[in-house]
Amino acid sequence: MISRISSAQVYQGGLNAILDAQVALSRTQNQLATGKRVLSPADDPAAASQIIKVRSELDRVATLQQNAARAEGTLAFEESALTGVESVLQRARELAIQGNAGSLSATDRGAIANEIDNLAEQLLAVANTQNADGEYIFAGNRSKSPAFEVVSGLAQYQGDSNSRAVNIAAGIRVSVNDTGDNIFIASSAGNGRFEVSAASTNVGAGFVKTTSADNSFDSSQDYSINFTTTAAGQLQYSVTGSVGGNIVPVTNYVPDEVISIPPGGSVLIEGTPAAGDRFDLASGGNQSAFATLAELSAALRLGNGQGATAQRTTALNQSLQNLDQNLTQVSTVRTDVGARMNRVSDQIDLNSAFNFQLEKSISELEDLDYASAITELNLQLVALEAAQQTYVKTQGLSLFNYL
Amino acid sequence: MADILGIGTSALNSLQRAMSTTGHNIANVNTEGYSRQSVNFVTSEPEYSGRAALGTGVRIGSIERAYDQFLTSDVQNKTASSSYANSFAQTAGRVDNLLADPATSVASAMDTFFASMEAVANSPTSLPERQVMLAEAETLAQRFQYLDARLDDFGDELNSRIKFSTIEINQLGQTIADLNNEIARVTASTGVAPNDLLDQRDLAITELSGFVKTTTQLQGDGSLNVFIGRGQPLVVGGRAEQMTAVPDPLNDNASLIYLTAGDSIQSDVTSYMSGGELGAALDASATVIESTRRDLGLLAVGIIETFNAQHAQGDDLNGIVGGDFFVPITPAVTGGDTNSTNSVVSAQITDAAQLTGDSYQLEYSGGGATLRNLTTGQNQVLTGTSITIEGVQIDFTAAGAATDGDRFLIEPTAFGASAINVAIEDPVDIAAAASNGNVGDNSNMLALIELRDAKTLAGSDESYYDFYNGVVIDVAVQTRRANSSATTENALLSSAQGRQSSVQGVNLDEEAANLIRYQQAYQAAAQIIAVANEAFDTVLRATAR
Repeated sequence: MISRISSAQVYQGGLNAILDAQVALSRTQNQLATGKRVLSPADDPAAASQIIKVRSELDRVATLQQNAARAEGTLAFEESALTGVESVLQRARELAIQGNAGSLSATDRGAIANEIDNLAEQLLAVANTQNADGEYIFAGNRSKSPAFEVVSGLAQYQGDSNSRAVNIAAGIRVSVNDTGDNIFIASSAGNGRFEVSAASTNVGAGFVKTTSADNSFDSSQDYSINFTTTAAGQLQYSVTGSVGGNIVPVTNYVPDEVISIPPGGSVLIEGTPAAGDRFDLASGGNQSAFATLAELSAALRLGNGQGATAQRTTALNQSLQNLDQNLTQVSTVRTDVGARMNRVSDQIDLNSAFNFQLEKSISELEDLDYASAITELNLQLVALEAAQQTYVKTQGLSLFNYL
Repeated sequence: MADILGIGTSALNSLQRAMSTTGHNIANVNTEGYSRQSVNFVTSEPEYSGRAALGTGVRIGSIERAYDQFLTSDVQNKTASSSYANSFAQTAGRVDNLLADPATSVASAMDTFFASMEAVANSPTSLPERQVMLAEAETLAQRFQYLDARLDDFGDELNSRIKFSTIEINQLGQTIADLNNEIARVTASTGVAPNDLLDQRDLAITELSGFVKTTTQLQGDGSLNVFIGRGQPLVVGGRAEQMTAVPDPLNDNASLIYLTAGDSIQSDVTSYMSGGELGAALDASATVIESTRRDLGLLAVGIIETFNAQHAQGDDLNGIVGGDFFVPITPAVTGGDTNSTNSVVSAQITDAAQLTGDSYQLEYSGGGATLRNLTTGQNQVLTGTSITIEGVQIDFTAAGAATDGDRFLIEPTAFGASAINVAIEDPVDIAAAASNGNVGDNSNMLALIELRDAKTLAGSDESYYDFYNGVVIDVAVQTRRANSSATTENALLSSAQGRQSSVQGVNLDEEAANLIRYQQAYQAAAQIIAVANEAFDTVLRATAR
């Protein structure tokens, strides 16, 4: 218990009370002015640590949103190019059917062949589409040079097989391009297991109508169907494998009957082939869309003789199959692009939701509770006024005033 | 009748002094360190007349200052600890604010750097994106350099403060020594305590406590011996020791404190200094400034090492293997001034994940070599010509071939934050593609972006961000602790000052009351003279008739 107090203490104590009240007031004022509860990390180290992390996360989500938006645009651009590819191939398919009609003159077919050639050029142009950066979008990572270049009359793929991935969320990437080799080259030829062509020396009226093959088909080798006649004039055929030798021994030919290529394969030849005619089966090959169009154009330009007509019919039938394969390949890629666009757009929504969460948590961490801060400010103002009034009143008291 | 005049006169004299003393108290009501004084009245020697002892009046027995040794020491102790806490909190707070400012934050520079890398990953063949990435890398490097330079400034300011403190300490030491001499002389010659000099000495010691912790010991002749820090003598009787601050030869950013001791040469007392501004400056320099610089240096070196390593995994736009993205940093090796030419030491970083930010001293002595970790103080005897420690490979001349006494300071990361720089100038040289990848390949850029979250530092436990966060939080926690300790210490000091002041301080009302009391007594004493005079006149008139 202190029983006396010095005059300096009365003065200093009063002054300290005012100064302390001012310091507290100034801090609250600062908080209200900035709207922040945490003015420096030392105010709340744990919250500050979180704030730094969340701020970086926010910045990152913003970047990833930009990435995602860009990826969406890139994929949409690719999709429109693929739509172009599809329409070119669709048109070629229509023309192939048209060209197969028996009533056409050589001139008519020539006109169709010319249009096919134009389509081939269009296809090359689409395959060599460039983006805003001047990159060839179907060239894989070899994106600074054209995806396809015409080498000895046929467009050849110049790119690589790598596609570009970009980050659209932490740990989530999406490919923003597809490579030309996959889109234009990778489809299987013919029925998917083998493709058949008539030898250019064929003279008979026989042409290949349809082909089929199942899982058991041995596509490790090529085959040929050779027609011969016996001395008695019986038309016969045999099937030879490039590896297996004689697959089907010499057999009498029955018109419109399926020739089986064991195991699992078959070819239906209509019309009557001539002795010495040959049909070649190429197994397991890929058929580029460019080759399909080139073959189509070449077939349409074949002559009008019996052999040539049969060869053309075989070739056009095969081309139709090839076009279907090419179209399936393109639409598979296009579906995949669409799926990726959906993923990106879903991710954009998720990122937005995440962004909102982050904003919310940063606000909880560092934002000021205005109601309580203003209450505190009022209390501090009262405290300061009280300290000031007390000071003035006590300083006025002195015994000397009464001497 | 002469006696009554004498008594009156003695009363007038004594009361005059009492009123002077009250006046002295009033005059010094605002004098710092002043202790109020009070007059002790004692009766004068009585006269013996026959069997009666006659009073002869009053005299001043002594004038004493109100003083309590315990309360004074308490104020001095609390002054040292409060001044330490305030000073430390001030420095820590500045570093805290520096790291908190988003405009100077390494984290925000990393954010934009990594965002610029995403843009390159989106368009690996596009030069503008690459150019932006180089610019952002530059910004990141500059952020490190800026923080390091600011911390260096803070360090310089602390060193100036240390220097200033030693000058003040020397002056105060001299003042105390001089006062010791004077007090001893006056006490010896007059036998009276010189109150005002004692007050001045106490004040000087309190002021000294603001710079460094002090303890005192009272000597028989009235002088006080003053010890600073952990018991280093500063004032012994009338002699003051001299303190000097010099730059640490092993660390330009640190100061060493030397103190003379009597006639012997001055010795290094740095580790014995504590409390006050000096103690705070020494501690803040080591635990806030230097440790933060070391940590930032480690982060910078970690980024350089790991980023360069991944960058070299890819190909640039010309299909050439990626070169250094950041200029690599070789650990600084400084040889002692007196080294022979026989020994050579070099160091290189082998594993960024193992780096600790510590510095080492390699010393040849007694035919052997020892490596000392300057942060942990651990020693290690070296054999052979190479050692790998904490991610750093140190190659050195074998102990037998070197000269004893040669010393080397090895600082693997100390200059990381000041030396970080972008090595690449041509955006084409950024290796965004995988090794042997084509121009449009962005896989190495994606791998570089993955470094953002990869636990590459601190024993593969922390990412760049984790580590930087750790640096900020370390300082924040230190600052918070320092702030709360300053608040506590200030309250303790105020309360100690209050207790001291309540004993020693002047109260004007009290003095006014005393003044009235003495004035009334003085008027009464004057009446004694008047009465004596009248009595004398009465006698004169009677005899004149």
